[in-house]
Amino acid sequence: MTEARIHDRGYLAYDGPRHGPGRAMVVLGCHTAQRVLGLKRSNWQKVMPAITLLISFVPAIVFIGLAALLPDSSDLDLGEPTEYYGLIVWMVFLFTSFVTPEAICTDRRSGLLGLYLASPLDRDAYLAAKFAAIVVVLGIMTIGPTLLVLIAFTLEGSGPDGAIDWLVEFGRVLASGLAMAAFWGALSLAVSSLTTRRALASVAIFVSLLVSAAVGDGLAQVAEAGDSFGLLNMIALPLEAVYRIYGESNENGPPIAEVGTLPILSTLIGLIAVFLWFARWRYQRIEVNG
Amino acid sequence: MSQAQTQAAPPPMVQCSGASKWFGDLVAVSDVSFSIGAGVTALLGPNGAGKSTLLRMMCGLARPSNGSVTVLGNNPRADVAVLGRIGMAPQQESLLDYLSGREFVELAAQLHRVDNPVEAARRAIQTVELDPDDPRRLSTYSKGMRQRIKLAQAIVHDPLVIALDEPLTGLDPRQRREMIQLFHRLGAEGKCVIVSSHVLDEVERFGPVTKMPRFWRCARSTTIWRASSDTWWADDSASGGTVNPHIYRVVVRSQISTGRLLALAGLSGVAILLAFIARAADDPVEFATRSMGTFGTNIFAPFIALALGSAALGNLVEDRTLVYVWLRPVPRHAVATAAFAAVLSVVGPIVVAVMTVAAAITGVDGLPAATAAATALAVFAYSGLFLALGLRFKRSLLIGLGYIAIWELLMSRLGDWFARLSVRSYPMSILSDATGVDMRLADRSTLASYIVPLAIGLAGLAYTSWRLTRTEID
Amino acid sequence: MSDIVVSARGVHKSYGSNHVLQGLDCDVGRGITGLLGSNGAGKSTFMGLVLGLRPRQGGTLKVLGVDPDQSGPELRARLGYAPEHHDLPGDVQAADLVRHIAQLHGLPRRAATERASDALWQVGLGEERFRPIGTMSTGQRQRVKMAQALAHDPDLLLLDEPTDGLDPVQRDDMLALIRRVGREFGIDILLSSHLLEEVERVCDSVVILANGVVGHSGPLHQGDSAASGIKVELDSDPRALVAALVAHGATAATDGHILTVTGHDALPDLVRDLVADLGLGLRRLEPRRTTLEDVFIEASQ
Repeated sequence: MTEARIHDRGYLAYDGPRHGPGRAMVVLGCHTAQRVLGLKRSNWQKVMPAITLLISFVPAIVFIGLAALLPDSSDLDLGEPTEYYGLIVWMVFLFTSFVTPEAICTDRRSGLLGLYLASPLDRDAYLAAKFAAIVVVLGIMTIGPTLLVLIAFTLEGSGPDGAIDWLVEFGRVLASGLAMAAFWGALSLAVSSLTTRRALASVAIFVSLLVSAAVGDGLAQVAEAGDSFGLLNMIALPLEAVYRIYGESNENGPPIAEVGTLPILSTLIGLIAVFLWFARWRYQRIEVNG
Repeated sequence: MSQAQTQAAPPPMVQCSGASKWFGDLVAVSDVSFSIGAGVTALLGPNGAGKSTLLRMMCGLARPSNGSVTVLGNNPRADVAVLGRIGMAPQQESLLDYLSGREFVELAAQLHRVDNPVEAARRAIQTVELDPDDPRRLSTYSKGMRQRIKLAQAIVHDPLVIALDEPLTGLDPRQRREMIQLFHRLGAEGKCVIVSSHVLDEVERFGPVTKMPRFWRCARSTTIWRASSDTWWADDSASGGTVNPHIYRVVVRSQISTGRLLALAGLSGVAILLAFIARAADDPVEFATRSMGTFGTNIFAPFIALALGSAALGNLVEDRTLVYVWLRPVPRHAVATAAFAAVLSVVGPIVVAVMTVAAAITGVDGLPAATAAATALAVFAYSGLFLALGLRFKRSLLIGLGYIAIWELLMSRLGDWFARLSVRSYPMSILSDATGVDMRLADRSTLASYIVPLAIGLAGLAYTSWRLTRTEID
Repeated sequence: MSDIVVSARGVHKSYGSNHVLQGLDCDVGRGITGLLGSNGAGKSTFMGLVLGLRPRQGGTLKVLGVDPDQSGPELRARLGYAPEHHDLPGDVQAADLVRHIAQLHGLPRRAATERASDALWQVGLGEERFRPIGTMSTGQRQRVKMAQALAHDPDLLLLDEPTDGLDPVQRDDMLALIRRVGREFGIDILLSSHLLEEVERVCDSVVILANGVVGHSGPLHQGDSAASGIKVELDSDPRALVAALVAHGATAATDGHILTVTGHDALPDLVRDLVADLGLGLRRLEPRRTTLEDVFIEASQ
């Protein structure tokens, strides 16, 4: 009697199913989101995303806690959802500049871009997946807390009345969060495409936001044309767009509050398009092999 | 080494006695002893055997953890003067990319205080069969050209000991053949040429292989003695003044890039724009003081100082090109002062001038002088701070950004106690004093508002200088 | 499947005024093919064109029967590529990276995980597969690059300088691995190298690039190319022997301590006699073969 055993099964050909390039984009997007958030990376890489995310959820948790503890919560003035973004905008600001450049800068520096472009992804698919990942990650911050508040209040019975109102409210939460995530995400992508050094991109994003605020608001104060210069303020622009989604305007806010809704929304969308176009233009010019 | 021995036979040019080097738990070189004289010697061993570490210890780039390495009778780590007689081509590919090949080799010659650096560089470049008149920057060089220019900077000052780490990788067969002939020529001239390689068939061409004690296999050609011990380096000394002009020039060159110039131009434009806005504002004094303060001392000065200061030595450390400064007989503190001077003289005049002009445009009395003083102090303090940061941390840019964003801009709003800890509040109070506009952070005594930024800048320089003497380059 | 894996006709590629490839014609057959050329001869550029990373400026190129410019994504799913550079993300585990790349090439997650593990075993990194790549040596990184190119079972493997930076032992291992992948796994390989010797050792055929065109291409038959002349290695200075040989009408070229002697009818006897007369120590005496080095130097001129 002989006993047959396989010691080395050698190399096996793969005959199983294969997905197309579309799936590759999903895989890349998920991978990028994980990396940006610092998952499976050193503790140092987790610090900034974890702290900014935590802090941005703190007000939401406090609201929910207060509403749950106080007996007559419907009398409680917890402010409008729009004001919530004013509370956390510094955190979104820090997150955008410190964390999001990781999405594309590191790939070029570490040579991974070469491997990606040698896979079924091409340059456009690569960038699209990266942008989607950035928007999703930023969305955790910009959609997450307000959505949490909405759901908690609904469960407690102090949310919007009726299915239609609820859906409208839900839609506003999503649209506001997406508007902010897409705008700052596109800005981050455009600036990150300029340099392979992640830290340099961080500095550039941070400074460009600060400077745009100083210049936009300064010009709006003095110039003839007046308030429409407030559109240059890249911190206030997406925030003001959120107010308009709720049909309001920021009363104690920057000059941009005086500008009409249509110019605000079209500037927002226009700038997103310009940023994305710029990143694409840069990537068409990058040589990867050799 | 006794005097009698020296007269009987020439002392070994390179001597290792029980030299070991470990990094944490990793032992790179373990108890190696040998001595080498003139001729071509090959260090052979697999990757990770410690060849590079050994060569680095011979050139003073690393300190043996145990035992000693002496070159021409001296410790190359403690006595930088002996570096004048050593030439080295490190393994790494990175070069001072912003220089042309000729400038790169000339720099080596200047730092070695060769009599005619231009001529010496030309000769060395021709020796390795490159074109001395090639105006292209090193960043465009191919692998083979990089190898050869590295060799040129190693031989430009006619050293007695030449250490070459993997000099043949990346060369094609014809170039290899010529390189090996060059090594033999140098060896025959009485130089001690030490070549490391992990490719066996390369080493066989260096000469018959002989066995060395302690698992170091060395190939070695015939030994020819020419140099006598007392002419080795008796006339050398490592003086270099307080600011080494050549290193200063290199750091300035490394600072200049299109991106930085664009950033500088853009921020300058913003400063001028804000000044014009201030002229038209309802309360020009208030707006002008605030915008000069918040823009000049909070954004312009710190961020430009961050970009340039953290890169000045930080980039040299990160891409390991600091080695091309380290191999030269230059006192280490002169490197620190040269880098600081370079950062200041690139950032300082431009930022201060732009801000002063902007302050003058606003037309507010007393503001230009105060802005000039405040910006200059901010630049000085932040440059020193970020120079030290750049040397200390790998992620200096990110840490610096975090420092500015969180510590200086966010935390200082929490109250006066925090504001006292932020550097920017001191120069800002000069502006506040000048125009009487109350800025939230700015309430410091006049003396403190001058002394504190100066002290911070100098502390940064002192730390950099101290840290440099301890830096090992891997 | 046809026997031609890559077929190029008049391929042009330039970057600005730098014409890297100028009318390249070649057919790469099945098996292991070496792409040889000195630095800057266009090896990496050619690989980039095969992958469809960049559009070419002229000529036709068919890889596995399709044009990389037109059906890049579909083609690249069937290719495996190991780039030349050693940079890989340092904080990622080898197994994670290989699985990720396999997933990008269309494998479902579970299959990708299994095959990543298999591929890392095959390249000899089984025990090390959970280590971050940043802690790995150059030799191990080369293997990781190999594994990520292999994991999705490609039809054609492109290896750019796969032995760059390896020591002799590691190089032997890598060459053995390449041979195994080519012969046992049945994957066609196009590998670029500037080292002749290793191409001689593993490749079935060779394409030599020089000045942007193909300088030589064809199968490699080892051992049957004995040319006239012999190689002589001495243990001392060969100059006296060179002089004596020249005096007898032979030509001798030195390469370190090794002489290549040609141009005489009874060479071995002549060398033997001269060495004995001069009292030199003889280490080696062997017939010279036309090595790839000769072909290479000829093609480069």
